Amino acid sequence: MVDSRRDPRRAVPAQQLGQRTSMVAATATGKIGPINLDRTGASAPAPKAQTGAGDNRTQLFTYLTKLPSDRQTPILYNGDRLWAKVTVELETAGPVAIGQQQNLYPVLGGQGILLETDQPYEVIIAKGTRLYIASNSVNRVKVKIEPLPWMEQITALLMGGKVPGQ
Amino acid sequence: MTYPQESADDYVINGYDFFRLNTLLASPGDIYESTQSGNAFALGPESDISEVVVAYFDQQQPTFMNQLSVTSDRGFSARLDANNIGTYAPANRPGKIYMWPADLWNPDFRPFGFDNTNDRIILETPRLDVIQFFKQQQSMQPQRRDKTWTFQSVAMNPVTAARSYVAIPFYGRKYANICVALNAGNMQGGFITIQGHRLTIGDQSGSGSPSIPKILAVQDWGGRAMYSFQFNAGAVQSVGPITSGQDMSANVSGNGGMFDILTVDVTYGTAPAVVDKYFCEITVSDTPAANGVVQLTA
Repeated sequence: MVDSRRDPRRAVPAQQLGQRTSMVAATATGKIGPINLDRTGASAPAPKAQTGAGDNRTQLFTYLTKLPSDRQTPILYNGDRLWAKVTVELETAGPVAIGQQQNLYPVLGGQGILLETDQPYEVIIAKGTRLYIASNSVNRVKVKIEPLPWMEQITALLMGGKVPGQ
Repeated sequence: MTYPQESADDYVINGYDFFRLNTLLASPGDIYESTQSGNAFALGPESDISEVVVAYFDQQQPTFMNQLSVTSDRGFSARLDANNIGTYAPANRPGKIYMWPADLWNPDFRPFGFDNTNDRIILETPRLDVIQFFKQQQSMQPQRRDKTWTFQSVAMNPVTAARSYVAIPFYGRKYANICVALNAGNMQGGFITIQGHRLTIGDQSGSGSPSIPKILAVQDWGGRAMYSFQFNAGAVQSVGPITSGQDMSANVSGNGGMFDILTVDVTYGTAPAVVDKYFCEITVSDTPAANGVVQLTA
């Protein structure tokens, strides 16, 4: 494939270089505030070429809880990636609690959500939110993490993301 | 008892939906533990013990421990949590779930009047079988299976009036079928005795075993035969001498499930010169016999 930027037969006229689609002036026209029409702003990264890499993977695994040795609450999902839908299902009797707070102990204290046996619990995790899990014993928890990359774009649009180059 | 006992955590890690504690008792004071919470508890099919106490963490109790019983007639279908972080008071032991048999057991049990010099006994150790379910159970009807004890060759001590016992656990059972086959030629004037024993906690400083026996059937016979007794346990029965060639059967009604240990013993009228032996087979069940009428046929 010929790169049009290097092929002199298809060189872009000089006067066209540097011109970009202009942005609508960032003036408040209503209650919703300025709107970024740049579709490339806050885009989700493209899938990586390497197998197993990238932030768009779905993860499926069974998590075994354990009695904490130092009262450090384990992290079930480290929300440093994109938005994700996390579904957990307790297979044994528990008690197991999940929550966004680091300190979920005591498990029955109400700081987190108490899982019920064989009842899937679904939660959409915003970017930057960690999901912690706490238990008093060894339990099996089914975990399904499904990425929601379009939520990143929606969030950026709503929050007025910066346009590259401006 | 296997030591260490089975681990409930290993059942979880290996993908099971239950934890089963299936072990022979080692002592009168066995206590077992589970570090797993459970949604239901029931006796297993192999259990000789008819009642198991389950202790769990309850912060509303002064000692933080509460108890319930699981029996052969009734399980427990609700969630009990193992509080491995908390501790019971005042022992400061971890707030796990503990289980132990409510039935009394004495590994040194000897029937009342046992002669330590001449008598012999085969004493079967009871088995504890309890299942802890991790998932909720829609319905649960715990029931022990019928169990058959077979003693192919029980040796007789060649001493006149010496008794040779077989003793089996009979906790909570409501029915037993007993077959005894022996060389009646050597047993002229001898006896087959079936006793139900109720264990108690008492002073053992005197002679004899701390049990309250009840003689269920004493039979005197004079010939070769297989003697079969079927009874619900509870009533006293005596049968008259049996002539040679006759089979005997007996159905005895009464209050089932009131004995801890069942013994069958055989004794010579006049001991022969050589060691003799007898065959004994005992089948026990939680289901009482349909016919509860005292009946003796020849």
